[in-house]
Amino acid sequence: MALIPGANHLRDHRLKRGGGLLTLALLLGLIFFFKHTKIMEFLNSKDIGSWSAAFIFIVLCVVTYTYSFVYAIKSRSKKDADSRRNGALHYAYKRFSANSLATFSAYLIVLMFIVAFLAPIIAPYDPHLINDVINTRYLSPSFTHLFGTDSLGRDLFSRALFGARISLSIGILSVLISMSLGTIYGAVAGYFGGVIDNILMRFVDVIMAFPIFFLMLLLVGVFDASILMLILILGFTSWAGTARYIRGEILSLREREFIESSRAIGLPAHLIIWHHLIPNALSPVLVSATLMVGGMIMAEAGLSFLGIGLRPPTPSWGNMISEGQEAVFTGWWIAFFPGLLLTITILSFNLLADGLRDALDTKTLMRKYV
Amino acid sequence: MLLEVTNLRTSFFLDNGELKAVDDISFSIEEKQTLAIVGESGCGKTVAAMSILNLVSLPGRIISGRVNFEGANLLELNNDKLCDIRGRKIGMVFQEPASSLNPVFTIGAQLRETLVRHTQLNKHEISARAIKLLGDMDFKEPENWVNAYPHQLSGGMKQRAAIALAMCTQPKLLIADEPTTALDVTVQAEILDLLKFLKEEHEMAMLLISHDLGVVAELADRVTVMYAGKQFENASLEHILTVAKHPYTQGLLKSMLHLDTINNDFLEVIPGSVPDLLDLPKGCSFHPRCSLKESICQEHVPKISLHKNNTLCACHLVTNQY
Repeated sequence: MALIPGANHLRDHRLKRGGGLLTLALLLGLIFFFKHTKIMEFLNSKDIGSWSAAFIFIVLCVVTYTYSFVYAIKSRSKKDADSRRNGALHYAYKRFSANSLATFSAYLIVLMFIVAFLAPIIAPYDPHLINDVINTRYLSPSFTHLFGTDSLGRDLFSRALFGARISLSIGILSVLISMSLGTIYGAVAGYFGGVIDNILMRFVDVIMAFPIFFLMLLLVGVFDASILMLILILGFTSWAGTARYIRGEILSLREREFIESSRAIGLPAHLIIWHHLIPNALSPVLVSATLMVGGMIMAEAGLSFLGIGLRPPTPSWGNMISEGQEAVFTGWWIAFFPGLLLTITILSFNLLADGLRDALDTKTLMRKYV
Repeated sequence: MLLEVTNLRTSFFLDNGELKAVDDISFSIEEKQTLAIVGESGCGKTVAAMSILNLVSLPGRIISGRVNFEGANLLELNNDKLCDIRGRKIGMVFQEPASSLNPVFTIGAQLRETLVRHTQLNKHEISARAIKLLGDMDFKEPENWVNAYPHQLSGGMKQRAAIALAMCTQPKLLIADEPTTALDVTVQAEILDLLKFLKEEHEMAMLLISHDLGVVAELADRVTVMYAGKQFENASLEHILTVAKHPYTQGLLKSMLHLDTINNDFLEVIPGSVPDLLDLPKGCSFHPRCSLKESICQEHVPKISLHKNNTLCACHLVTNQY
């Protein structure tokens, strides 16, 4: 039993986690069965993208098997006695896993990420490969080309996988930048108050009054639209809302007695902000960050759709849709599949955010359990 | 003299005027002595305590005065030095134990954070010290409670944890701002016993803020009575409880519940309530509620003056009687 990942979880009636592990193990097994030559080849490859895909594949295999193996030999009673399991986060986790829709979205997102990172291994064709355009273009979806081919005869399934890689990393990384910036900025403004707060927040007002999308258009036009640049531009133009939000949270937290108490203990300002204010203000940030990932992916798609995002040979869901619009009537599938993936991803992120909000908000806890 | 506060004035500058929360207050605490500040709600007790540690935040401001602690004026120290004194030499316990602990961290994490800030101990010693501190505060099985979050503790335990936090570095002075007000009577007794024990064990001075003369009688050596931001009387505990002359102190004492007054139909109260600090009556701020008032009370603010037995009193009527 212990050798099948997830089997022990299923036996203990932890169906979601067991199912997830089993699916993952099956997926990894299938990939290995069909693509092991490719993985070996990639491990020796100099191309960082291919090498990292093979590396991540191996790490995933190791993690999946060790996790279920350790679970199998560790007794459950010992786990429950662990005193660290009584924290607020643990309760939040319990509430989160009670929400099946959100858990499902979380699994879907994880799956999406795994597939995206393994894109070079999974992809049946080279996403840039063009040969024999006349015979291979506009092929409708079939078993040889799952998502069909585009006007240049490139395999859309492969392109969508590589596109997922780009769209997802842009979404996550730009949100990371924007959230860290906004959180620190808002916390400093809220904690110090007075003149500092006034100056910092008026600057935020100016940024918010700016039409952000046009600012993005301008910046993308000025700088070359590489992936890194796009992440930076998206991250640095969208932190103002977070900053304002965090500042509001901090303003109310600042008046609480435990902040007064930590000042009376003699903690310096940076420790009070870092250890006491930000952790207490973090749960709404987490929720809005998750919501924002969808927004960022959409913004990237929008920029690419307008033709000023990523330059065409690089696939992203946005420019794939944009290419598809030229041929909506001859090849509906060209825009349809990336659009579908985009919708599913953003929907998953929104549902995940919803679940996180319910799990982290103590007021919902009251409503549900008291 | 451990702490000497002279002519302290703290005001809040609000849209509709200057609110004098602490108006010219002076008192001092000797080593191992406990001073209690007594008064009704809203008369500036807490602001006075906050001013000592320079913790008053905007729109409040300390206008003038000196707070001498071990020879240094705390109000003139720079922020770094002040942070060294806060928590290391002066500990503070707050009124509401439920909100004075950070809800997202365990008790142990909060103790360790303070210990890291104020001591040079290594990681292992700090963990051991945190557990020992909780043990000193009468926690049974402290090694389990260090991993508990504030919401898992009862009110009394939270207050004991908060006291542990203030006692981390064995301060010379403990400021206890209504430490028992939010607790029920049996727990109050526990906390009082604990404070009394700590005071004697660590030979610590204490500034106790309370509106409860019962609590004050348990702990204090000296009492200062505040009303509407002003100091009315400052005397030893026996003096206050037996021969206090200020009409307000007398009123406070009379309105206390004694076992032998239970048979009487009414508890004596001071009529009226504390005046609006933005709109104080002319003359003595207590005169509208005072049963002994004379015409001079409505005209002139009484000055606080020294009387026999090292007693300070601010009342026009008391001057000649001592």
